[in-house]
Amino acid sequence: MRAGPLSNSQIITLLNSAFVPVYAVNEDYSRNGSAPAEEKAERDRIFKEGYAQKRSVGSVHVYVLRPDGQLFDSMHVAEAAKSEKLLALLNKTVTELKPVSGKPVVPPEPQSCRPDCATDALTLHLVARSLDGRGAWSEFPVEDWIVLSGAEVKKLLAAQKFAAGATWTIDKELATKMLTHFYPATENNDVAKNKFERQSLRGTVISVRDGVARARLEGEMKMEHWFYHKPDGKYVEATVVGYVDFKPTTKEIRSLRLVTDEATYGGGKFGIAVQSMEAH
Amino acid sequence: MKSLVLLSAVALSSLQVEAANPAASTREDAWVEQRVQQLQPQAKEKRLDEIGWAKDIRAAIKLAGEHQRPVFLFTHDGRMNIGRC
Repeated sequence: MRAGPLSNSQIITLLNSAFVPVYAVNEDYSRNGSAPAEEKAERDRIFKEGYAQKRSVGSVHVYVLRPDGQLFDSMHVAEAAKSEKLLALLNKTVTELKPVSGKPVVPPEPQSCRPDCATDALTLHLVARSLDGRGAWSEFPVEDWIVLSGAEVKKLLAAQKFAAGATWTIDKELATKMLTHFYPATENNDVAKNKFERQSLRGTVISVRDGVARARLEGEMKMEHWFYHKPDGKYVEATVVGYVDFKPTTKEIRSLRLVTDEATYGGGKFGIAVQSMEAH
Repeated sequence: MKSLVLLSAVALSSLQVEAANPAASTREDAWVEQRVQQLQPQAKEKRLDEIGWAKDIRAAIKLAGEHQRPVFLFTHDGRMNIGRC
């Protein structure tokens, strides 16, 4: 949907001018999901109306509601993912319901946002992009947000002393927390299912200048990552390189960059870029 | 003695201790930075951001009533906002 109809100019214009668009993540609406009970009840109510009206109902679906919240129509994602089909549904809705058109009811804003976190935490933004269109989905790059707590930041910078040439191995648990997100766009995004066959990440202080140290980060990994949610023998193999600028006295990180040099998955090549993000 | 240690530490930091192989590290750092920029999502890959999404279903229905517009609801697995879906 994201690469197809939700990137279509006509559909974007129609959604903004005549609808109130919303998306709902099924995981949030599951029994243990983070959505409030009232929100879950609202989604269930829409499903029930769909069944009562003998319309198409499912967890990955498009639903159109009347301005009073009652179900008007629905469409399975296999159909809705075709721009012409979704456009037809939207146009039919506009023709029949004659909504008040105008500016977007909610101003558009970036949907991938830095998560809220403690002031001493380090927020890392990760981008994964297919480099050859093989082995993984490649319509657009995917992202992750990784938050290291203040204690984890201290653990990341674990050298005995920060003088040029000093080296240290980065805590395995901490390296895992970052490297487990090093995979391209796949259906399976449950990192708990990832299994490392090997991994290493180490730091070497390259320079100390004006109270700021720069350390080079280097490592490599081999991690089992299933494309779908069942074993398929697919592995990520990657070498990584980067650097981190920090104050040796306080272990406060100024900047961190970590990228894959060579990375393969499922017969294709992909790239990962991680960068620290400043608090807004 | 403590003063001597402190003095040495201050002197060390002001001496700007350089890399054993600064040329190699500079090249690598520049490459890393370039790689980070190259891999970033382009605006055309994030057209989802051009749509004014409501916060949740209840908020959408409330706004729909206020503005007399239908709700477009897409339910899905994974995280569409980051592409991990």
